[in-house]
Amino acid sequence: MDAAVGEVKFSLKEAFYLSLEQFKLRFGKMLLAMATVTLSIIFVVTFSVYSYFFQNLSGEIGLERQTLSQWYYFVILAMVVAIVSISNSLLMSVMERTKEIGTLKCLGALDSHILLLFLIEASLIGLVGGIVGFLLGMIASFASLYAQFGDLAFFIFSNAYQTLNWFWMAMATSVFLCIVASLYPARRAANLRPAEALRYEL
Amino acid sequence: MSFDEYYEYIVETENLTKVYKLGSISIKALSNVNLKVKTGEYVSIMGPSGSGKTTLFNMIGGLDRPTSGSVYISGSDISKLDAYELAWLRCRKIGYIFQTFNLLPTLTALENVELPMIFAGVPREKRLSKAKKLLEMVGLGDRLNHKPQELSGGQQQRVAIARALANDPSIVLADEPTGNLDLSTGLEIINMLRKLNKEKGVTIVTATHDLKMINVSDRIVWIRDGKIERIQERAQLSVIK
Repeated sequence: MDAAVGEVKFSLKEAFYLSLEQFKLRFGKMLLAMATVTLSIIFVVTFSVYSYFFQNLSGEIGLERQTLSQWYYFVILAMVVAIVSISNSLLMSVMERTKEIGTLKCLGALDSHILLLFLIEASLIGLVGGIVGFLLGMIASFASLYAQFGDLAFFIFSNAYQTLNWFWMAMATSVFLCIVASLYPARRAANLRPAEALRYEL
Repeated sequence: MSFDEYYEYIVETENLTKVYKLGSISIKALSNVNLKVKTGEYVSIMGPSGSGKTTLFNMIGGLDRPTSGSVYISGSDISKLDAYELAWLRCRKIGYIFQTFNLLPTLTALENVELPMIFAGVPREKRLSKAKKLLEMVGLGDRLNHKPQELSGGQQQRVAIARALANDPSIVLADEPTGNLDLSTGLEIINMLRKLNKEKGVTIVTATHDLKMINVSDRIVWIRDGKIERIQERAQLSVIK
């Protein structure tokens, strides 16, 4: 076969637009999944804020740092719950959209384009979970530190760089969790055979 | 070998056979189908449900691979194409119309028509003006920004026709295009397909059991139990009023 065929394209911008519309449409259905990511980000942020607080102020408040070690357990548990829940939501989304995926393939979409669509959608869930989780995490850790140590709690906001670090960490963790969770559903969507996908009835 | 050359037969199947395996039993959905479709022809594949119409549709459209035999589009054996080449073929050379319209619910009529052109790499400006022109052609110039759920069945199918024509395909494949429409809307769609076939010279292949389709087809291929029962030419057909 000579090079008879031309190009098939799908820019990141177009993919992003399609995923965003889908994300908006499915926002309600995704809330539960987003809540679990948010929860694990709250844990992650609170854990970091606490560590920072106790590391720097352990002299003043005389508290043992080792009490924090059991937090790891919660953080990891929350992450696992988040991954399972997002995976499940996205699998539902793939099933509901089987026909749509078949149609996209008819119009010229490659497997990799479908994969991209789902990865972007997962990242959007991650972004929302990250922002909300960061804000709630900061509020929660400040409130609980304030209740215990009064004005000393303001220390956690004393370093803007540190706060920014927590923010980026929250976002990165959240998006990473969502992308890991979406790998299986996205692959499944990408591997759907068009003829079968079109025949599919929910 | 190029898809742009003119071939007398745009679609050719050669001993096309498809066997589905369901557990231990295998079902022959198509057996040794030899069909030739001339460029510019309007062909209807008719038969009861379960006769293999949709399977044949999927094979010709490059949506499924045959168990044995070949499908040639413009003289090229499409079972020899890889995934990328197949995607290109579906995007540029074939337009699909479905019974259930299959528009993307999140996108407006205009964006739905734009979609195949996105995959074809058409720049945005050109894409927009062409999508508008196509929607005007199917009589939906005032519905550009409506989402599918805001359109009636007939209107959705017209959007689907506009979408199928977006990349100027040489073949339009329609699987039961009137199956979900009432009598008069169905007739409207059939007449529109016929008009496109006459005016633009697009080859149209429909899989249907809608007898209204007989009036406009150049040839009817009757299929039963996965085999071609008979082929009727236009001249042999009496027009049903």
